[in-house]
Amino acid sequence: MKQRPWLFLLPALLLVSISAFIPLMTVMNYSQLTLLPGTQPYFAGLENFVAILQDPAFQGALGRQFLFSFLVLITEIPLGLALALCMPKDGPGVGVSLVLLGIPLLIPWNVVGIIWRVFTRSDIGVLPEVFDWVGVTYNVSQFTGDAWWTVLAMDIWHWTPLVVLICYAGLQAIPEEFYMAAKIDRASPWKTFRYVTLPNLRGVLIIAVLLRLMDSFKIYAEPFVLTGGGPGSATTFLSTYTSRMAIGGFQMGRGAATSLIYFFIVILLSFVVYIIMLNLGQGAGNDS
Amino acid sequence: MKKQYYLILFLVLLMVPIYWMLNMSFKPNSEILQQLTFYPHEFTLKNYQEILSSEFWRSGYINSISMALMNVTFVTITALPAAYAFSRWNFRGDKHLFFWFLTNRMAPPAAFMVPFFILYSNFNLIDTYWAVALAHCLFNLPLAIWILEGFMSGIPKEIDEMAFLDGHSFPSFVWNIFLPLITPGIAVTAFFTFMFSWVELLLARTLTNEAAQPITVTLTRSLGAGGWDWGVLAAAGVLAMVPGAIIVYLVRDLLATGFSMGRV
Amino acid sequence: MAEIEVRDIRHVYDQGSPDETVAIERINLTLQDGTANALLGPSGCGKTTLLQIISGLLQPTEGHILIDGEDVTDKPPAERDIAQVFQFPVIYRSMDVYGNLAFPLRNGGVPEAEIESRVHRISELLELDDILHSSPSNLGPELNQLVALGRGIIRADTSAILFDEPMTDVEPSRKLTIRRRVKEAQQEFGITALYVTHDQHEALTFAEQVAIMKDGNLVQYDTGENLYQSPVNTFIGHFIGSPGMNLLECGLSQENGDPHAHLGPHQVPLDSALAPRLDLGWTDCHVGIRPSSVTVQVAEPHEDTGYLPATVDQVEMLGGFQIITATLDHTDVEVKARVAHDFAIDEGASVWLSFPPSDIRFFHDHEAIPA
Repeated sequence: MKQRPWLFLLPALLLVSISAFIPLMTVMNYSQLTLLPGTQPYFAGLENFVAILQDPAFQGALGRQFLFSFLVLITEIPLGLALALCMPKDGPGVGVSLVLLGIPLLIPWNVVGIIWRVFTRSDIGVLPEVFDWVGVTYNVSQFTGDAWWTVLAMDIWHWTPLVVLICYAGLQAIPEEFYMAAKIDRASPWKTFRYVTLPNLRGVLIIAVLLRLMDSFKIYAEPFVLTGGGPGSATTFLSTYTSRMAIGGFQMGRGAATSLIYFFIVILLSFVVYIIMLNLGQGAGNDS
Repeated sequence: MKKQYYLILFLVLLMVPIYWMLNMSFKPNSEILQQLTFYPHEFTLKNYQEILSSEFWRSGYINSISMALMNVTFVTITALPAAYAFSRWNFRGDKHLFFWFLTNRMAPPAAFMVPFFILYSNFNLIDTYWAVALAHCLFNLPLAIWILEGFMSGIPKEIDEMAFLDGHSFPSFVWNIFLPLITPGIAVTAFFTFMFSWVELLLARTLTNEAAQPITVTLTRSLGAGGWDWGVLAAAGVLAMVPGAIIVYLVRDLLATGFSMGRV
Repeated sequence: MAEIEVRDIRHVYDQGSPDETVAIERINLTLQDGTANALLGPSGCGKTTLLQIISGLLQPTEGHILIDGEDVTDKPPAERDIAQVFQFPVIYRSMDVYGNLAFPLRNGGVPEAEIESRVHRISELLELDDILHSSPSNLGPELNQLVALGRGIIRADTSAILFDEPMTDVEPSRKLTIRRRVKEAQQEFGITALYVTHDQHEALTFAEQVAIMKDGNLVQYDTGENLYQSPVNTFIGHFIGSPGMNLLECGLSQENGDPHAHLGPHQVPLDSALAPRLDLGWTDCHVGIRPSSVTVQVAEPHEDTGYLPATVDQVEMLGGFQIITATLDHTDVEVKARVAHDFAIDEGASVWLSFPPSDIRFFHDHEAIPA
């Protein structure tokens, strides 16, 4: 009987080992080798890691990545929560809203890029035209600022619906009695939000923040199609950098080392956020 | 009541870029490039005809749907027992294992594309449905276990005990009692699994050439090939959205129940 | 501290839509200042709706709520000074017990020093002082329910407290302790209380007066004793008591000026005081008698003592007593009777039953005819 849980976990463990564990071991192996076409691989130790970490292109991509993920979190989470609060609790509006919110999530990521590309291109897009009318110059392929906020707007457009859906599920699970009690206890709307809504949403907010953090760190296809990582390297993020290292191909060891560093950063970051958010709700016990 | 206007405003903004692509897909290239029109003045279905008559595009759709469905099957079948184990039993290292599963959700596909390519090359799986469907388990399986565990924890353990006391065998309990109870949970899981598999580009592109090439890859490849045929591209984009829109419409009631059951 | 008057209250959900449901037909009820009352009724009878109308969480379709003579129908819950305890413990989980108790006071702008003294007074009364700084998530549902109760009565201006089936989540073994503390608090502060439940035992032990609802109507509002002895209709007779009153369909006749009820071939003498109120032409009549009032005898009695022959169908041992179910001979009338635990009787045996006229209640069209 003691083995029963493991029996149930066996299929999942097998699948994960095929889809994650064995590949991960392969990267670890390669990351310490130097593979040049036509030569024997030799053991390079940490040489590849050091080379990557010192590469200014890597440092630039890493910095942009942190800034991007940070901006994504501070806009999408509050916006998603606010919109979830605006959702109807029942009635025909729920189904319509859910379907409309679900659509951006089910568009292939490169199609998202295409949609925004045709939306923002200076020759065929509507957005530059609108900016032109109000007298503002806007060109995604020329100006770093324009490219940046367009990629950000695209991500908000693409992923805020997911945050709305997650928060809405959490809100639906809060029993009506909590709000009744708050009314009777003379709580203001703000205090009701602070002491009823937020504490009861802690779990789903952790999920939303983690998902958005992980996924924004992995962003690849959308900016790749929209801007190709440019202008210059203005919208080159970690995935774009890593896939270039890997597809570039002649330096497999470098590519593998980049992958490992990348993976390590994501795990570390998610773990830190996870711990912080777990303690955030618990420690708030004694304040007023 | 007033706050619902904000939601409506957001939903409208959500639809604007989609409308723009839809609008473009019904225009000939001459109209697209010459002037800005908010609806197709020279309405045409030529763009759609070009796609639907080409074997190249059609197989892209079939490949995409097949791979996503295969992935949903693998993930659901393996995640159900795993989630049951996490929700029902305490065992050594369960918390750590759960977090370890989750870390796989964080794995960036870009970091995995090379090892996947090497691994699946060794098994001659490159350019087959298997390669992509298995690779997508990397991020979908942890998510599925996570969602299902949440739903199962919401069902009291007493239900299991009662069923066994009533003389149900384990398979009979699962089939007749447990699965019907978590159907909304399975729907939500399948929705998210399908979604993440359907939309992924990087691994799908690395692991396929021609035979199994999914629609997402077909789209990107056509981007580069021989100038920009904007009308066809827009039509292809619209067609790539259609399966998702149909799915979300079909499962909307189950989703609503699933969401009201609590944890996503 | 307050008298609550429910005046002509009517409530309809989804009025005008196809889903329209009448939750409350029309109810008038006055809860005296400082009394403990219960609202009892089967599920779906509208009792929770009435509670929410009194606390202000729900606006009635028609009618008024008056507190100490002042019409508060249009006031929000916060301005009614009414506390409510819900089915399951509603606590603010990000605050400790102290924070939870202090919450309504802080919202009302009460100075911290006064908050502290009130929190200590309440926590002492409810025996919560040891856990003031624990997080509620670590306490069981019983203690959490007490915290929710404390939050209700902590305000100095609390005029009434409403309980909505507060024992649902509480383990049976702990119910008694919790109810005692609730009752103590209610008496200590002299708060008008209304306790909603579908459990008559809970209602009768908590309240001085019990209001019974059925299908959106108030059927009877009375003391436990009166509900038991003088139900206004067959519903109350059957609903109160366990098992409920025997309700036997009967005919009516008069001999020498004395009224008699007919149960098939058998005759049961009624209280002669009833005579002027009865009409021999009535149909749909019932005699009602409590199982504890039925006299049971095993030996065949002498003739003309009014005993009716019956056959025992079932004997149930219920601890200190037994309940016998017997069918009157030559009829299909079933009677339940309560006898001592050591009363020797077997299923299938013949017995003789007698109904003392003073304990018989008479119902016409299911309404009681008072003597």
